[in-house]
Amino acid sequence: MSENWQSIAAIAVIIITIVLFIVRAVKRRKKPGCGGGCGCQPRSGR
Amino acid sequence: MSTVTSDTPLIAIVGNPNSGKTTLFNLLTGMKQKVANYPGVTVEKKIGECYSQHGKKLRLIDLPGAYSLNARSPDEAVLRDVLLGRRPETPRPDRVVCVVDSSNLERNLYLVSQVLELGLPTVLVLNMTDLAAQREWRIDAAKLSERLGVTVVLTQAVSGQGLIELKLALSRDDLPLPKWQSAVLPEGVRTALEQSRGPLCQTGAIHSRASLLEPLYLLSDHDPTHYGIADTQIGRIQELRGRIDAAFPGWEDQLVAERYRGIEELCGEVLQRPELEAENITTKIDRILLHPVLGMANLLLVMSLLFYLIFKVAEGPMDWIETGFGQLGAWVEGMMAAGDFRDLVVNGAIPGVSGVLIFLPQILILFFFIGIMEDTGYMSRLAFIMDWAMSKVGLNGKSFLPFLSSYACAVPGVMAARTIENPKDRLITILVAPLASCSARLPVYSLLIGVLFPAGKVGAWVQAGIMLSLYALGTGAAFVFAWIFNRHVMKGASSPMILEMPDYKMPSLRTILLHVWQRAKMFIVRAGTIILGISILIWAASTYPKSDTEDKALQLENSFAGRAGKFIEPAIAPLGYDWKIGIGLIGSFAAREVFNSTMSVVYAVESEDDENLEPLRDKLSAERYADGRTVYTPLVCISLLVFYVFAMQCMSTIAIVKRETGSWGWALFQLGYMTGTAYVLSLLIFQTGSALGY
Repeated sequence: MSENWQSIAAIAVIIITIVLFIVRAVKRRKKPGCGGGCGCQPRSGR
Repeated sequence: MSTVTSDTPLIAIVGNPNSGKTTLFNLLTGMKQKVANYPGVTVEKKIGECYSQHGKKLRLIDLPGAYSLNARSPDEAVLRDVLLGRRPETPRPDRVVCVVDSSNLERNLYLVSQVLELGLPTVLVLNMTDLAAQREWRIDAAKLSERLGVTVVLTQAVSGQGLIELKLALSRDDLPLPKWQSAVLPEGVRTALEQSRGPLCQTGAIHSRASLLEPLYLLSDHDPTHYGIADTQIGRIQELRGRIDAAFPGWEDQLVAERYRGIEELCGEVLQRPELEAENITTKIDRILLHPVLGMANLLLVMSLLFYLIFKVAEGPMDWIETGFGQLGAWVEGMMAAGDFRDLVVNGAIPGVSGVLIFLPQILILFFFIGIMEDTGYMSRLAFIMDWAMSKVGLNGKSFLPFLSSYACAVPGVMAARTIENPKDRLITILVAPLASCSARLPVYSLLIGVLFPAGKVGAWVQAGIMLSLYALGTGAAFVFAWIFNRHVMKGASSPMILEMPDYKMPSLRTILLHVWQRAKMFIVRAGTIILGISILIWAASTYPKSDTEDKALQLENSFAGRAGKFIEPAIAPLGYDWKIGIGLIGSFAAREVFNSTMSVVYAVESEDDENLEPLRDKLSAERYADGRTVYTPLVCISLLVFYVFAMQCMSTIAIVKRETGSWGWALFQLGYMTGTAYVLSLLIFQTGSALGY
């Protein structure tokens, strides 16, 4: 993998990470609380 | 999970706290909801599914435990409202499974009698029959079934005994309707309740087809928060209640006495007890564990042992994980050509994730110990031991149970405060609960203690002692703040503690290991998702914008993260922290353990290739200012440790406090007072220490 491609791949990974965090934040706003992500009890199986 | 249709029967599992409802629910549904041997573990309804013996789908709803339908706390109101069909999101159950602790039959039958009066097809489960047998109690189940008109099943939920009989009972389409006769309401009270039905219907508090029991339970509602009842309805309810109180003083007490009289009569027929009951093992153990001095000494011993094991036993596995990640980093480095993507993996993702994941063995030991304390019944004893201390600050021992839960994670701890009846006590408990050192603080404490006292130079007992002091500091601070809030912020009467002491039992290794496994899975998933994501972003913030210079330290300084660290440096320099620690502090406001990831990434980005795989602890110890001074002096480490004991750095907790208090105001107040205290105390420690020449 050339250095140029590595730069593009790194930026792509960063953008995907930011998008995933934004999606997660929006989802959480709809249903506030930790969602089990803090290491507490898992969400009920409803 | 398959689709649920509206014709799938909904079965509510109800009973007193700690009677084994959730254990039965887990057995029937195959789910893994938390169970423990103390009252108040379940504070929310949980829904699952199972199949009848004939393959018909059944929906089960596990409800929080309650002693009566006259709700006294928000969790008890959930039970009342679901059974009365007052929750819009939950249909009224078609059937009820009433779970009873057989070794406390008389007290448990109080709620049973109220539930039976609702007229729903009911199965009565006599659980914990082994405990009743140990006391030489003999319960005539056939007679009880005949008197109440319901199917009675004997179970031992912990061992799964009686499960098939229960499933068979639930599979019946023709479950009989109860024939328990309620205490006759005095004519005047009955008329008053009849008259209250109209006004309550008008406000929407009850529906037009509601039985007389609904106004009864609403008007005799003791839930101070009136959870689930609209503000507009509360005034009307209180007015009607006041009218009945004035016309028939003591009517509620008379109803309670009448109900107990009926239960006593019933128990006289179905329960045989020995003339003289022998002292059981619980009483014998409690003589030591509830002793004012011996109980406290035992608590200190247990906690010291826990922290010793955390450092001693976890040492080996932590080294293996550290070595494994080091080798992974070296392998990736050898396999790929130099470039940004390789840097992202080797200096961002791997150190970021490993910075948190190496503490997995310590987290597992912590949860194993918590599991033992919960499953044996020791948790309730801790609340009892701490009651005297809690009373000094205006709370009672019951507030200590949510606080204890917060040692694992503040989120369930804050939610467990729903079991507290008094709204003022509940709010104060929520406000101080995050001061308990949660498991997310453990990696930070462990890292900094490792820098302060390296493992080879001091014994594990010294490290354990420091850890114990940090936990004690958080606990002590919670007491001080509870006292301040009680005296100066929220005035009002506190309520006395009424807490059930469950019998001791041998801990179930399966339950504990399952709990530990769930925690391990969550910790690993979190490290592989959130922590990985944050590590990638921190690497990006520490790498971009790129500078022309070859000096890596200068590159880091010019990056976004470096500029952010430099920006807050004037505010944190008086605490003894440099701008790189500042980057760690900013990152850890998402979650505390992110401090480790952030520092791992920052030092990996800055380091030369041959030193970026060193353990973080060694990098921190070796860190120097330009003039050669050590960055992580003992004083700085102590200042940082104190900062992490007090600072409110958890987005999840802030969100849950907002939800539980119904206000951003209290959530922000908590953020402010905790972080403010962290700052002031760390400042005082560093400045005083520096002035004294440390």
